Amino acid sequence: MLIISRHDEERLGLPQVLDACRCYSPQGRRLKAKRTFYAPSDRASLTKEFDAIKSLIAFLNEHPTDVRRAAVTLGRFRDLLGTLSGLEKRRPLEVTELFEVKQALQLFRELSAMEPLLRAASVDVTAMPEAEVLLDPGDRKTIGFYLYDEYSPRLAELRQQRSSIERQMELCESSQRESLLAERASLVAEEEREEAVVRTRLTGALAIYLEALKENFSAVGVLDFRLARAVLADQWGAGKPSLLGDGDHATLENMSHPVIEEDLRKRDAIFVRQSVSLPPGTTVLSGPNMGGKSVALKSMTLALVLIQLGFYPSATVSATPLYDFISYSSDHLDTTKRGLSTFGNEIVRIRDDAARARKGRGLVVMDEPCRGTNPEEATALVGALARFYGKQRGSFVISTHYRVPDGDGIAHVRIRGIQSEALDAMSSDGVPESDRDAIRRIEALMDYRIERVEGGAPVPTDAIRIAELLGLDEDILAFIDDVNGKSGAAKEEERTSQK
Amino acid sequence: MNLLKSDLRHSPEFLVDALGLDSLRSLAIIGMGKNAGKTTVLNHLLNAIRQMKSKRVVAVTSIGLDGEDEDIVTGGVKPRIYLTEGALLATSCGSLNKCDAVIEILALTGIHTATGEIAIGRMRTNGYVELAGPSIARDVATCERYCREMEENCLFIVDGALSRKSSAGGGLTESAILVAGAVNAPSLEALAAETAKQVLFLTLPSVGEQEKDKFRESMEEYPTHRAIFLSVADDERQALSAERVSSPSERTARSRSLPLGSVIGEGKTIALELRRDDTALLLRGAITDNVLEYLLSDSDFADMTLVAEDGTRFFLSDKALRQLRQRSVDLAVLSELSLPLICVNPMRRDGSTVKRVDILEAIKSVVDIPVCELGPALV
Repeated sequence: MLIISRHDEERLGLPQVLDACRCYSPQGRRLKAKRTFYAPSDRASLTKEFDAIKSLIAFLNEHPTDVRRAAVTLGRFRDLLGTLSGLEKRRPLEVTELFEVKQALQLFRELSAMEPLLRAASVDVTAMPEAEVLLDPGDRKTIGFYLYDEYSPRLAELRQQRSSIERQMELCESSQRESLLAERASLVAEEEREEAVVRTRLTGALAIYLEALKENFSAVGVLDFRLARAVLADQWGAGKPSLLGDGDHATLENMSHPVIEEDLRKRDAIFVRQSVSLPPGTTVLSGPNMGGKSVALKSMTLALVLIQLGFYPSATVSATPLYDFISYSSDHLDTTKRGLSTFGNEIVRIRDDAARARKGRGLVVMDEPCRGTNPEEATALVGALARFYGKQRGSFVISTHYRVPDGDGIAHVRIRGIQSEALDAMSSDGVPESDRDAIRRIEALMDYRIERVEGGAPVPTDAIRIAELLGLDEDILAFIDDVNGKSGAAKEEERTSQK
Repeated sequence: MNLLKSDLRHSPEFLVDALGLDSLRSLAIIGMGKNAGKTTVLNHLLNAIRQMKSKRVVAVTSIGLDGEDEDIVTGGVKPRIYLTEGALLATSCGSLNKCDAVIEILALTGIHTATGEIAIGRMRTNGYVELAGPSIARDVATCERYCREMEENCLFIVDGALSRKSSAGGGLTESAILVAGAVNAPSLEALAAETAKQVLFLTLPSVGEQEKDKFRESMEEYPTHRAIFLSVADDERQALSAERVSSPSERTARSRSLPLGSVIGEGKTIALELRRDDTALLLRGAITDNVLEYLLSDSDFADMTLVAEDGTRFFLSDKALRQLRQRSVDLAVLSELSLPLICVNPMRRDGSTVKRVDILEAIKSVVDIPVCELGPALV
């Protein structure tokens, strides 16, 4: 179960990733939209999905043309839910619906011939020749459909009679025209009645194949969705995730956030891939401002969410136990919900997550919880949360600027950030040309790698240095020094030594 | 043309020759209003094509609903469309049930209308059909693509209407027939004046190639933008102040556009964006007096070209046309249309008819295009 609000899903980049996973058929799109969450009890099904995706990745690299051909065939499928429902209820199908079924049968035949692809995808799509004959009684092998004369000698006879009258109408005197038109109208009415009989009979005959049709449509959806996930995994260079047992550490190596990575690529910047290991209990992520804590949390959470939705994550190596639920919340809580304040909402969320964590093995991720609360109480709250989750079976991951003391089941990791020598060097390079230039220069100096630290490690203190580099008013900087109790002389000396 | 004597009915050969049906790829039948007589003209056309020596497959669709037995607005009996075996049609699934011919379904287009999805069908027998095609121009183009997949060289006929909501055919078809019915105006004089105005719009010249390219580039880049402005490039402006460049097409144009959902109701926004150095303004939608009122209130709207996608997009009064002339604002289109024929229909709303000769003479006196009255089509 995913416990992520729509806004947080957006921030996480989940809808964007699902959009990028391109299914061609309505059946595939429906399956994708279903968002099946593979709980620990679904391990076998998920393993099957991952095995099929692995085979498909190999297949699409070896046989790209076959995959393109399959995509074209998949793209020609239509949503036949209404038609199948009609068939189930024995409602006489319309001619257009019979056409749709005929077209689907032709597509099933095309797909069934793509045996290597189906084998790779572990999917069975079977041709249905007997049903095809029903909708092509004259063996015309055409794409179209109409109620053929072969369905009813009476229908054929009526059509011939009508045609004969129409020929007479072309040559007749105008005085005869009215009576011929009346005769034609009577034949047309009888033809319509006979057509209804034919449609009813045909529907009944097709109903025998209803289950086979449903199975084939379902298989088309599975094939399409697996293929789409394989294409995505191949684009990301993703490795097949390993599914671990309860109590194991989740590991992600060289992970990226595909949406942010793509955005950076568009502006000729590079996403620095990260590796992280999450033990059961609490993991506290700290790091400097602009150090990418939120991005790291998003990348990690998105990767683990994707795994439990049956996708390969954007990481070269991934291994994780399956969680009963995944909860992610960032600092932007929806304050309008239930009329609660930001803090009220946050506490409700924390309360509900804690209740869930007592019952099941969850992954709870919070990006800077209690950031709007007074630092003393917030530090106490965050510290308490860390200790609570340290004793639970699941994993709790938070990014925070507050100090969290060591304790049982509490691990500390941090983004390495900028070495102070590099910041000093940047100060000596002169004033950046623009804010964007300054930010780029800071980003270039940032070491985004995540490293394990002991709980006693100092909380990063680069915020004021970065504010200075971004050109904050000198008076404000001086006041900061006052507030921090640094003497003017000492500060001046520090600045001179930097120059 | 000898056959154009007003006292003669016209033979099928006349239509073949006048419209160049041997080689024409697409044709729109544009009515001046409700019950102008488009369906009768379509039936005459279909009859003429059937009698041609070189057999051509026709593909027929309509903008919106047409060919129904009864006029759903006035309740009057309407002529039906009769298609023969082999013809293609693009109509909604709902209308297919009202056709009395055997129609082979060849494709379902994914274009949805109030009466169902548009299907492409082929007539397997002769019969009467109801056409309910797409309501927007882009979807009509999609239907044409489907039809050409089945029959590359078909003659694609669009039964259209002059409406603010949809484009009748210009830009979609090579050629058009305008149908003017006595029912469309209170008097023959008024009908003649209105026809002359429509002919003016439908035969407007296209903008220069350079401007056209610039507009098309902009339309491709911003497909949802409804107002595109062209102005003279900065480096040209100085040269222009020293020496007037005679033709806008000789200048380097710069374009900018507005992301509007529609032109209607956005006159003020468009006027606010106008600049003195604008040389052309393309409005992708109906250009009405209301839109023009805002543009005319801006003194920068002068000495320029007002461009529509095609001639069917102009819905301007005589007063508005006069004001445009005073401001030296020319009208032009992106897609030029050939208008080789005007058909008139003498039937009034109450079923009585005006004199055939009178309506022919009234229209001929105001236009330089062949005018004919084809009479009822027996189908």
